[in-house]
Amino acid sequence: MIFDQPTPPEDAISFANKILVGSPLSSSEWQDVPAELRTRAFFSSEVENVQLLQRARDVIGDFLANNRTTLEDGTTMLKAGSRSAFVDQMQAWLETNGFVREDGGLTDITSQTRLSLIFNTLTTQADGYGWYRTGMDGDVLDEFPAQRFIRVMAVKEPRNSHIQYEDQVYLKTDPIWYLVINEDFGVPWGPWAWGCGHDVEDVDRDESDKLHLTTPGAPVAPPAKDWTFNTGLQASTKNLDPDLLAKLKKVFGDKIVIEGDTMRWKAEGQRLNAEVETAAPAAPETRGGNQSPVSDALELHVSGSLKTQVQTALAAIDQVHDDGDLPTIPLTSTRRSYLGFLSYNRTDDGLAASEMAVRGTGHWPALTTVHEAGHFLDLEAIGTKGNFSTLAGDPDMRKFLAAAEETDAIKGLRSKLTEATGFESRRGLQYFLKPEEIWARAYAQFITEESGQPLLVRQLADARQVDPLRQWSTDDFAPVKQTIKEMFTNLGWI
Amino acid sequence: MNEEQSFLTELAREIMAQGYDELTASNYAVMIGDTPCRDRDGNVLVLDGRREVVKLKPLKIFETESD
Repeated sequence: MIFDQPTPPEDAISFANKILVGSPLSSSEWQDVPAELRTRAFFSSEVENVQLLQRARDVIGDFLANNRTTLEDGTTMLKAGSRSAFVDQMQAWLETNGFVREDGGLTDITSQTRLSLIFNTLTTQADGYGWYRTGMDGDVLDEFPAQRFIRVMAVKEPRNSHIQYEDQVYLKTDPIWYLVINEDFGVPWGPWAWGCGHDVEDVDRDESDKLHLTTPGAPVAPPAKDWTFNTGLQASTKNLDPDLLAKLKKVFGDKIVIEGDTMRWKAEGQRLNAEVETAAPAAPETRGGNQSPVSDALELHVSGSLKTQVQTALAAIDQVHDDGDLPTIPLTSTRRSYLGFLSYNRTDDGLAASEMAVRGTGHWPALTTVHEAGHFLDLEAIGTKGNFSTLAGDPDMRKFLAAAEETDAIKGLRSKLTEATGFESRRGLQYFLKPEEIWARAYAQFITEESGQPLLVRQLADARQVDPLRQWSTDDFAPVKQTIKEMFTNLGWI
Repeated sequence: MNEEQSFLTELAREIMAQGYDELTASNYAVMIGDTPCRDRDGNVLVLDGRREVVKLKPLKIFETESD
């Protein structure tokens, strides 16, 4: 990203509207705070003094907005035209307000090193946000729907996890940017990590069409998550570790507002009013503008790379459709031989989903997550709640199963079953041909093709490579996909 | 299909350990698949539609971990 023009004023305003949050949290502790809240906050690690933060925000806000001041002789000059101006003004303010210089190191708020770091971090993030917002504008997004992850600067210690994404192209709306690539900040704009030498460059519509990221002439689907500051970013508390939630409540006190399953900052009075007056209508969280995404029904009890895989899968589902009304169940990990499973309980009231499990060491955990979500929907959301619609004869599901039976993949499996004599191979084929399994595999492919989520696309290709009949070719799948679209349209999910 | 063969084999073995022959255990494994049904006590119910075919004691293969 090369800046040859000022950051758009809108983003300077957005920056000025950040909520001041003084706290004793260290930088690593701030990493645990949900990205939606971090993005909306103006903070610096281990700085509790709100007046100090306010002064820093004001000066940096002047820098970003190119604000000018008039001197006694009538001439004007920038209020804060550079990093050194920021450092000078902050050091003067700190001295006036009784802050004593300590060791001059990175933890000393009066030091040039610390103040320069604050300036660099915040202005780089503001620039990154400005670039993102400009790129998400309707016309710009249509003309340049994707971006390429490129190295723009050599660094001492290149981040290994970023190497695989170098020169790769993804839609700007792809959740991979904030779920996978930006692992330190968790937002869809740069900087892409602490000390990272990567940035992004626009990819135009022609190239995007050629890469099959977009369809010629078709609009780009809106992002699954709205990251604009003006819509009042809030985070879900459902997937937060209870200990972390308790810690955030303790540290932030009444600065944070928790309502139902969401949390957000309590806005500052005057700025909140200004924000409300200029607020744009809230963008839809999901493709259809619905409000009960599948991800809300799963409490994540997984961590590390499996958590990333699961989150990527759920974001893809949310991007494609809404779910209606699912009960909330835990999503855990298994280390046994299963790729994943959905367990349910039989109670006096009928059948009820109880747990979803995914194996992190499986070959395609994200695809497995979507597959198991397919079982979840089959039991709890399609047809009569508490019955597998694939077994109960729901009309739309019957149409789907009939279409699936006509595909080369299913015909191929039936043919193999007829010829199979081995005990284990017959067992595997019988399992693959169960209606609920055909549905779950089809649902996983539907989400993959509709979302275009790169991780899922790769894992679907891997699954077909292991066994070409496990999933469908795109052409073979097309009539099946149409029945799912009709089903979801009838359900009001898309 | 190797991935599915692995868990079906492990599941059938565990069912056989409860006293069922290989063919019966194999059929039950296919019926359970990756959507196990449990009762309040953690027993695994083998269902044919909604009809209970047999009740198996809790199976370790369905134990999970919460991080």
